[in-house]
Amino acid sequence: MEIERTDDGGVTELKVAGELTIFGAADAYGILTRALSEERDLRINLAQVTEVDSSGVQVLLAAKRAAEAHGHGFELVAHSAAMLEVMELLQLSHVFGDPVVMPAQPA
Amino acid sequence: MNLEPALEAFFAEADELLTRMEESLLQLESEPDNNELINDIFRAAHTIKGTAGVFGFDDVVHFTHEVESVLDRVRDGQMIVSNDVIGLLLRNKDHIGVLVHAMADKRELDAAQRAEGDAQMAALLALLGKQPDQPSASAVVSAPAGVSRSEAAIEDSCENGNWHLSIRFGADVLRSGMDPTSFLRYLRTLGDIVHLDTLVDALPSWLEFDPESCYLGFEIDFRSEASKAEIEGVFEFVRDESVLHIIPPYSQVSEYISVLRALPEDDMKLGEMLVLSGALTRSELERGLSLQSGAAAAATGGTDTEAPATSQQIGEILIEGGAVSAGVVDAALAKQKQVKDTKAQEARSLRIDADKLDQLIELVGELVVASAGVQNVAQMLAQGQLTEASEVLTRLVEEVRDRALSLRMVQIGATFQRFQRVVRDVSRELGKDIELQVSGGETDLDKTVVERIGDPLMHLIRNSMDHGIETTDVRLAAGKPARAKVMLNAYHEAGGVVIDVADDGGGLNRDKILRKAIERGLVAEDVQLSEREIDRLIFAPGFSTADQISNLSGRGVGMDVVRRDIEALRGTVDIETEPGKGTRIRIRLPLTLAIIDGFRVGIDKASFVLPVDMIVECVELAGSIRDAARTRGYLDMRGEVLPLLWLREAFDMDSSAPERRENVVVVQFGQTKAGIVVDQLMGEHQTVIRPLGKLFSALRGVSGSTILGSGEIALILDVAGLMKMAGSAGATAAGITEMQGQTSRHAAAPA
Amino acid sequence: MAKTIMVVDDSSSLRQVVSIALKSAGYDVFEACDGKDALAKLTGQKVHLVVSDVNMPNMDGITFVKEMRKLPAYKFTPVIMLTTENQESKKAEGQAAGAKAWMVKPFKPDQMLMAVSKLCLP
Repeated sequence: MEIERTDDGGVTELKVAGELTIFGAADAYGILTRALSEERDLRINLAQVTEVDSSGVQVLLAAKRAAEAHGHGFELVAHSAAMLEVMELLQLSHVFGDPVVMPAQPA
Repeated sequence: MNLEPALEAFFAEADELLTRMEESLLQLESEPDNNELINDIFRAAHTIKGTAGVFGFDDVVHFTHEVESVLDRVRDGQMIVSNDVIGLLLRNKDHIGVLVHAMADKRELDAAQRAEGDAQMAALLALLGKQPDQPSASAVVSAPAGVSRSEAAIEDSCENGNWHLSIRFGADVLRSGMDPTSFLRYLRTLGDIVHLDTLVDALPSWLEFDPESCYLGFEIDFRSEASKAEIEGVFEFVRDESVLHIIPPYSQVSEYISVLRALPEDDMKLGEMLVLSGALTRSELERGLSLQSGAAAAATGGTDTEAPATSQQIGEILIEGGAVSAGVVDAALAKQKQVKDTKAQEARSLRIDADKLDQLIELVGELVVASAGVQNVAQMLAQGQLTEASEVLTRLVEEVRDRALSLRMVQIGATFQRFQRVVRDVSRELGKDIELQVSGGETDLDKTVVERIGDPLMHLIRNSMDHGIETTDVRLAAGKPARAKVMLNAYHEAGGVVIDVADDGGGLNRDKILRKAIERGLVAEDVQLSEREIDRLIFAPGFSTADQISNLSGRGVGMDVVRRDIEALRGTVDIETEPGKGTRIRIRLPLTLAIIDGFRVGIDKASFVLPVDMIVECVELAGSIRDAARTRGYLDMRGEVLPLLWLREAFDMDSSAPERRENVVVVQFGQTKAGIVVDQLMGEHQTVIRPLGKLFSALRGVSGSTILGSGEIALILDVAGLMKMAGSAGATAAGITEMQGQTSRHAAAPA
Repeated sequence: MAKTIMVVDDSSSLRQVVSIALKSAGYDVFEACDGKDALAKLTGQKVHLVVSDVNMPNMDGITFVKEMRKLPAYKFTPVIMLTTENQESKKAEGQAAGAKAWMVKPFKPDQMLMAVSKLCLP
């Protein structure tokens, strides 16, 4: 897993590439912790995510709660097919509350 | 799925495991406290059972299961390893073999085998204190495939026709690779997830959040025809550490409420969820909650007092992880540590079909011949580069030949070990106390030889036990230890292998042998025989010293069959006995049957090949020495008498001997030496042995033929046979007589 | 892309059965004959699941799992341990080592497939 960070005005965008799974959970937590500590809105770009497991979902859910608790925005964008599959399985779209573009056919 | 290749592997593996089991059982008899052995035996039975089950060989599983149970008790020290138990286990091992082989051959057991199996089963069950015919397999968890409305249509049941699953995953599941989403994906293969809520209430604050711990829970409405056991089974790998509740369709509202109470989350919140998901209607929830609150205190222990039809299911599903007490675990761990490092050492090996190996050896044989041809041509052309190249080729081919032959080499140890069982069983039957001592098991020789030496050895050992070893009373009276010994030893010697079968019994009774031989007309009544010659009589056809034919060794065949078997392997058998002390039978075998390093000699234009291993030296025969040898029939070799055989005469060849000189090839076989007189010495050649046809099987002094590189045919000389032809005078002088053919003094005279 | 499973067992016939069953279901399979062999074959490639026997020569299954968990690429790889009903204490030891899924021998190939599917569908 790799996470690329870019600053887009007041928003920090984290672009996750590869597996968002237990193998990279500690790393993801570390990067998110730094990002959360900067007290900015967060945008997570999931376009390059190839695989997501429960730990990946969980770390995103926890980060969302942490960001919102401090009054910052947290949004998931550009869900990849792998991410959408898990969100559909766990019926999470309303939990994250982000607009999800359901592609007509999985990319 | 085609499991055929795996099946073959299983049958071979089962044989190996059974052999190991037998070896360990026999060793266990003398070392009953050896935990390693017990573990080894257990492991063999265990692996067979495990793998047999995979193939659906239920008979093997069923039988081996009881054997394993007995072994398990032995392992736990609950059962003493008596000789009776070992005896039973040995028979069990045999029966497992019978069962496995029946599977391999796709046939049923015969009546006798079935009876034996039943008898053993009864004995096993008796040991285990079980009743026969009591089903021993673990009970199958059965559950109704679906719950129909009418069955559960008890008062206050809810309207919901879906299952409801409530699961909170344990904190450590992710760390061991158990991903909740995997289970949910699998759940979908059993039915439809109608509704699912992911619960994140357990998520701590970000700083306390451990990204590798699991905090997730799920409330699932699930439509499925699957049984509860099947649904429960989805989560079997995480059940112990997770909290799982399954509520069948149309369950009573009170069950939902009980589950709500048992869960960590707020009752009202979960209740809302159930209503939202459609599991319960709002009125059902409200009614249920009010009912339960009245009896809240009493309800914590479960709902056993509820209506019997469905309510027991909740108590059944409430899982509590880690129910095993710490003491039990500690004791078990300590015990496991003891037996931990006792894994059987298995050689890394590749199983190759014996036929393929034989084909390879055959090709290598052709290659050897072809390369000899190239070498011949190269020598004739005397062209430097070609000679050099052909030498390299020859060296490589030689190496290939050695490697190929070594592939066929197997250690004789496995064959030796088989006899432990024989000795054990037979000594019991005879009422004698006999132990088998084995040494030199690592000696290796050609697979074909190993395979074919088993029967003769078996016969010799049985013979030793039957006739050689005295009864315990006699032994004690003679001041010998009560426990008799039969010894098997193998070692390499001069290009061959020697196998000794020795015992510390009473030795041969020469008077009796001679009497019998005269009785049978094998020797003339007035003949004077040396002790050695008398001893050798036991190998004469039709000779048997047993007063009565026992069912063990006297199976109507005598030692002559043993001798013939060994000779068929181009080996010899020799006997030494000392009255009162014991007997030793020495078998000499060639290392391999396929290729030898040959030494070519010539008579006029004909070529013959002698095995190089048997040649001691070559000497020139000329002048006065030649004349003296001619008249005396032997050569004075540095003071030693060397009997000579003129090959030309032995084979009735017409040509006349060369005028000036001949050559003597001094050969040694066993401890006997003789000289073979030939015209020319032509050097070493690799020789692929081709058997002579049946037509020539009576031919003496020739053991086979070979094709030379030039395309000519050469006969391979049978040194042992020739030596016999060279005369018994020299042989007797050397103090040892080789056992070849019928050997009365008359018959042994030079041909 | 097919999921990759490593099968570790000293019984070659059992390995073969398991491999045949898994391959027929669409998994990629590779085999190892004991714990040592298995560790040697874990060279950083993605392995979705390990199926391992407990009682093996050279290195038993539990030691193997302990060692495997030390490799970052396999720290969280799910493992199905093959065992028998008589190995409860082993099971406790194995679970402590991070092997949560246990499967009792003997099993039918279909049962094996089912167990594998729970952890990772093909």
